[in-house]
Amino acid sequence: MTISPFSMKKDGKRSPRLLPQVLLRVLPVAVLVLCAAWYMTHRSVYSSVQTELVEKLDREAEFGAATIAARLNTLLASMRAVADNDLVINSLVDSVSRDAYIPTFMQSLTLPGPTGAKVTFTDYRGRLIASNFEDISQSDYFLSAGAVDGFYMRLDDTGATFAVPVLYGGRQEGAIVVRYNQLHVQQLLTVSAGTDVSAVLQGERVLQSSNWTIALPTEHSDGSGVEDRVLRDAYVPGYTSLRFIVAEPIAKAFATVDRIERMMLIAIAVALLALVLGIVLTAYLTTKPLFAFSEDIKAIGAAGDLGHRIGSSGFAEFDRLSGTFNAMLERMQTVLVSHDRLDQENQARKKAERELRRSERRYRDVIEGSTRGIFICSGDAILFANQGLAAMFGFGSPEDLQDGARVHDLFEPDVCDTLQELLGSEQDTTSSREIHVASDDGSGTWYEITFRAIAWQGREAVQCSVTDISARKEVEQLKNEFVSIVSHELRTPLTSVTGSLGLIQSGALGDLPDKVEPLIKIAHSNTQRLVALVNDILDVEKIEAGHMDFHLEPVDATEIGTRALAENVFYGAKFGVTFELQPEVTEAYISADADRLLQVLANLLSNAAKFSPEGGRVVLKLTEHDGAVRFSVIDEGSGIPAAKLDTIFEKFKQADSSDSRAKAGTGLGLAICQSIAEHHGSKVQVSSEEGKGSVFYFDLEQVAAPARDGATSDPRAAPAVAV
Amino acid sequence: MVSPSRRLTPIRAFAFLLALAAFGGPANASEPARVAAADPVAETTDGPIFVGLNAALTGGAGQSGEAIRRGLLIAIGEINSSGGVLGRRLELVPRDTRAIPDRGIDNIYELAEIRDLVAVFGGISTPVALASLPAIHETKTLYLGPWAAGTPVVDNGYETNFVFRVSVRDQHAGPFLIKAALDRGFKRPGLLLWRTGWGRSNEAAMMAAMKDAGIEPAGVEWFNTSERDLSDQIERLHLNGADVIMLVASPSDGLNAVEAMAARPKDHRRPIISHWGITGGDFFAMGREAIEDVDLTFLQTYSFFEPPFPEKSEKFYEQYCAQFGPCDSRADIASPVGTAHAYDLVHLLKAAIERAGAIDRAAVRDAMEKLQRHEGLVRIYNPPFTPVRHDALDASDFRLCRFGENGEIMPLSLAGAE
Repeated sequence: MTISPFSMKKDGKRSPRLLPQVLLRVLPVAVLVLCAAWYMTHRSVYSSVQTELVEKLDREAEFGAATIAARLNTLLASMRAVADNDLVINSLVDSVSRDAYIPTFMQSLTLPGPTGAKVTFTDYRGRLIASNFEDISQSDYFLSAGAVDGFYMRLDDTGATFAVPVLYGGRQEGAIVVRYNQLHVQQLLTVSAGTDVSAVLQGERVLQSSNWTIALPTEHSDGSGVEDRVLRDAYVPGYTSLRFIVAEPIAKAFATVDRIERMMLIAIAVALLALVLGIVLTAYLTTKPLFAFSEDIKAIGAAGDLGHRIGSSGFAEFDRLSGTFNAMLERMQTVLVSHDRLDQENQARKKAERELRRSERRYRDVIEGSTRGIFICSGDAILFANQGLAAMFGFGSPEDLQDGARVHDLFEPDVCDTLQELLGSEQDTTSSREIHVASDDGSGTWYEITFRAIAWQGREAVQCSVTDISARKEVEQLKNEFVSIVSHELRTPLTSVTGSLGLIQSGALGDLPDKVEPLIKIAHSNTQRLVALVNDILDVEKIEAGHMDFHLEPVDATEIGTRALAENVFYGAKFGVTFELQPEVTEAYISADADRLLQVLANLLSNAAKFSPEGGRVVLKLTEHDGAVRFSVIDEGSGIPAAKLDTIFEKFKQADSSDSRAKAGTGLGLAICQSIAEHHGSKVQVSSEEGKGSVFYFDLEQVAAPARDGATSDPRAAPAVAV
Repeated sequence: MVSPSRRLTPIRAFAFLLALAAFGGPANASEPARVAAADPVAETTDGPIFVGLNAALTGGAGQSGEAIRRGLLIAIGEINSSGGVLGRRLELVPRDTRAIPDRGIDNIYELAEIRDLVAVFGGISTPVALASLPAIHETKTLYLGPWAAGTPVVDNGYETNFVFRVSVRDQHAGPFLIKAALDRGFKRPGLLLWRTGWGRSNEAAMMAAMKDAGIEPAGVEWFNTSERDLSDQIERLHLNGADVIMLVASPSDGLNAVEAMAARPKDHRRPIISHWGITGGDFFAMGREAIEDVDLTFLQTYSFFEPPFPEKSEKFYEQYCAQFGPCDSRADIASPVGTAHAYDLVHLLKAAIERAGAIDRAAVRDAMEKLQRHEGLVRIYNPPFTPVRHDALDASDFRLCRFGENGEIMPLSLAGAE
């Protein structure tokens, strides 16, 4: 795109630019209007000034002319008076009286106007009869002409000659002739007009002028300026060969006008300038946002950024445009975003689908590849099964299995029951059991089924994983056998050793040498420890194998607590810790295996004592908590670091695993407690603060007091759990 | 700006030029410009004999000049129809003096230039005649006066007097008029005189007559030509006890006097006895009303109402009417004295020319003085003139007249004394 000041050319198309176009349209009209306005003002001002000037000049001219006329009239009237004088007339007829009177008469004659006029009385042929000047021989013969009612006037270079007829019998028989010289003429014709120049003209000849240096046009002027002056004239009334001209310099007269016009021109120029500037400004203000707009659009287009909004230009009109455009952008953006989102969603969906497919593949691979049998069932239907499961049950493919089998076909009723129970359970509720599936050749395979309640395709289902645990079972079997064997094997000798050593230590066999006593003591306690360890291991195994029996029956909590303290008081004394029972429940019965419960309490109490400072106090507190009895063992020991709180219930874990091992222990105690608690339907929990102490607590559901016969019909009693 | 009406229109220009032309070219030195006379100069001796008429043919006294012309023409017609003079006919060359002496003088010179011009007849104006005397005698023009009455016109002191007159001579008129006043019982005339030679001429005559009569004038008042208001003069005369006003005036000035008199309260008016100057114009028509209010009598010589020779008068009257008619009555002969005098003068001139046998003016002049008895219209001239008397009429030819009802000049004897 090529840009010139006047047009833009793009794609071969030339389009005009705003500013020159507006200027092209507005300026001529504006100039025309301003010119017209100026012209009309000029004309009206000029013409009004001119009219005034002309009127003034006319007045002056007429005044001057009238003044001269008056002078001439007065002169001629006097001359007529002389001519009408009967003595004068008589002297035409009578030479005697003429000679007697006329010379004196003429001498004494005074005419109005300039003094020194030469007055001559002539006969009918203009010949001298008498005159008022001395040297008659110097006289000229004067023309006497004019009609009976008229007069004669001649103005020339030598002066002026006036003559009036002397009438007798109605006819001119003589004349009174008055002769003025140049100076007289000047006096006669000088009228002070209030103008720059005034003059008296006869035809083309200037007879008198107030300023002889100014050459006055002798042609009749109609008032238009000649050279640098405006002239007006008036004919002297009654003596129309004479013209009184007045002139005023144009510059002086029109000075005001010129000044006004100059100012007007300046004003017009300023107005035009302002107009142009206004147009330029308007164009600029209009095109700038437009350019910015187009740049914005370009930017949006280039960047594809629909989120970009056109800024406000500050003008309502443009803001409207940009607002509309922004709205459009917004809609576009929304659409685009929607598209993007759709795209993204599409892509995401595609990706997700891919992922899903991949995942599905993975999972399918996993699932299908898993040797485990995985299936999902709901009710009796098998909604999904993997190849493993199919193989387990001798189906060729999962589809065969799904089509052909039902849950009850595959599993024992108790499995089905479990499945049924889990169906309505909360999500992710898990359960597991081991089953033995007999195979055709009589041997069977141990499987572990883990169940998980899930939602499968909108319905409640149970996801099951069947694992062949034959090997594990074998191993377990082996291990259990080993442990059992070893434990038994160990325990027996240990028991014997312990017994022996105890016997020795008790002094029953006699006093021991001082050097030997501590050794024996140490050996004894260690062997006791070993025994405890073995017992614990065996306990653990028993519990884990499910061989430990729990006989739950209503037990008085307080009584248990009291027995727990009593049985462990010596342990506490060993560490210098006093046990205290705080029973805050009365007549509370719990369903528990008393012995096992005591075992738990013993463990907890011993731990508490172990980790309490010397002289400390351990409290066994019995509280009611939500319909259950809470057994809390509170110590003021060193506490358990928060990080370890989760792991202390694991096997072989102790709070303090440092090498110092100040507190001896197998690390199995809490694990055993937890297992026992679990078998009671409870869980041991701990809250501890490092340096302050710990609280180990567990809840047991209250039950009704046993009937006198010891039987209980409380449905809340936990069922015996046995394999 | 200039209104067109102020411009020099062609008409005005023409009028200007006309006026300019009427008064000749630029002035030059002392000699008066002479206008070449457009006169029919006779180259052969068989040409006419010219006689000039130098009188007021126009103006206030133009009637007098016309009357003279008519008389001349009747006589010339008679002479020409009876063979002329010396076998040549007479031809009249009129010139207008307008009663202005300067014009009269210029005319004399002009007329005198004419070859075969033998005589010039004068007009009513004594001032013109008096002023013409030098020119007359310089050019040796025979001057025949039919009207101008100033005594010095004829008694001009020229040794070879070229002036002859058939007319009133003031020297006689004065006493006649005074006697007329005395006859009517007036004892203290007031003189109201035209300040001209004629006025002065009559002043002398009247004063002499009054002196002879032993009366004193109430005063002598003068007026100028064209002096409009003569009431002051009359008042002064009145205050001085004038019981009659003796008027010597031209027709227009006479009218001023009569009007001034008529304007006075009736018992302040006085009769006017006037010289004949007032009859030189249509005086009665000019001032009828004033005239009717004033007792006006005036001097005349010949009257067609009372002709001395009725047959001649009749014949003349017929000729007059034939040539200048139609006439209803004798009154149609205006300014009759001029007509009659001029008529007689022509015949006298003819006689003189025949007597001289030539038209040499000097010879004819001399012949005039030697004329024998001539029977004229006015009277029998016997002789008309003598070397020492160039006036043909005397007081016996005078009569007093009055204006009739229609302005006819009636002799008192016919009109009845008032």
